[in-house]
Amino acid sequence: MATGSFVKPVRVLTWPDAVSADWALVQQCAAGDEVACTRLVTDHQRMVYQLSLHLLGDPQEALDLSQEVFLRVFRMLRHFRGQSTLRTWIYRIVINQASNRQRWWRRRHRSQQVALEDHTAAHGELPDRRETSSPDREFQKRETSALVWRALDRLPFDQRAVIVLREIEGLSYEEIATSLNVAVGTVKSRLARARENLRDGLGAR
Amino acid sequence: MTIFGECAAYREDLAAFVDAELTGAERLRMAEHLERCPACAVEAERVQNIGSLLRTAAGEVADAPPMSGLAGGVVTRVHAESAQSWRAVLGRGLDDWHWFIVGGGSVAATFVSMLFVTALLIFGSKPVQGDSLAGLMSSLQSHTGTLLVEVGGSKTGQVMQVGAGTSSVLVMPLSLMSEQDLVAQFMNLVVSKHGDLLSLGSMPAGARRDAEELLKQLSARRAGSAGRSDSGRLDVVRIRLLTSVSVPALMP
Repeated sequence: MATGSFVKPVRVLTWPDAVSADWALVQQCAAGDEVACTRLVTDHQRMVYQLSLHLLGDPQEALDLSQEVFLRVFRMLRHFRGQSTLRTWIYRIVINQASNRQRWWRRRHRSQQVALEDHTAAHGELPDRRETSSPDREFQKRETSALVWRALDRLPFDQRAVIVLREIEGLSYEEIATSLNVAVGTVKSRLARARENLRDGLGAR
Repeated sequence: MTIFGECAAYREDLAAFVDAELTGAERLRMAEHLERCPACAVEAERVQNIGSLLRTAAGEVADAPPMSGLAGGVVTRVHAESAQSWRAVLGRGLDDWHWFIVGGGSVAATFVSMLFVTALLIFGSKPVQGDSLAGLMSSLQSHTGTLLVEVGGSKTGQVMQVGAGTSSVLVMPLSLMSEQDLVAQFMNLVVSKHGDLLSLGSMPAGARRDAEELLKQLSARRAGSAGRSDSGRLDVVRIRLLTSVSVPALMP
């Protein structure tokens, strides 16, 4: 017996919808519409800042990079063809800019980076992980996060970018491949290496 | 660690399973495998752990600083940059059409004026003023002048005035030549191409004889046209060529 459909059709935002909405916004920005330009920034600024922060690990650097990224976005706006979503396209710009900055930063400041041993010598030992009494819990959580950041910072930029995009930003393999301009197979292998290295860096948790 | 048997095939896709990148059927097979394989389940959990550690660490620092100024700053800067680009400058220039009209009109007027002046120089009438530069040059280039010949003899004190000019030498009997040709021939002999007047004494003998013969013939013609049958004998006292520069010529 045909019972009919009880599922109410729900309007979902499909890929073409997202692309055409992006396209309209980009067109308005390219035409010099200030409101549209402001909206483009405010819609994406948090995403850009966080990705910058996760890639560079420094809030001030991340803020500078965000500004650079949006300036680049507006300069390159004419080249946006709607082949990917605006979000993925912006991710790609963030990755490229961060990669450039990373190279420059590493070259100039590597000698000034403080080794973990020096840090502990100056500021005392890191807290013992077995010490899990309640007042220290929050502090230990912060320390764990610091360890994670240090392990992340030691990864090569390619691996860091891929694992940040996957685990923190939650991008699919396909989106990561577009953002990094590599094949999906490359994304998989880089992700595997990144996880392996991170696990080693964190002491096989 | 070396993975044997069934697990080896699944390990490869373990990360993709955790990342929800497997298709429905693959996902189902993996889930079933993990239920019966504790080793692979632990491995999957480790992959998940890495992710959750990262997300926790990200959450700790994710508090974005106040970014209210970012959009305004970026948009202002982009507008300032685009206002300075050559496209914008050109666009503003095109808006002000009157500058194009003024500029184009100036260029066209200059061009027309130059054409007019050039046409005047090429096709205009030659200068008529003798004291202009062009007049002076044409006077200097020309050998033409007024030849004053004072003759003695029966007509003492008579001064003959002949036009001096250049002409090719005519080879024919003097009696058949016109008066003008006679003068021309005489001039060819006594006036150098530089305008110097040669004295008869300094001429080669042949040229001097010719010159005297020409003068005699000329004098006879002039005397004849004036109605005098008695031509007599004319002695040349002196010859003076009047051009812009006077050249005294002392005759023997």
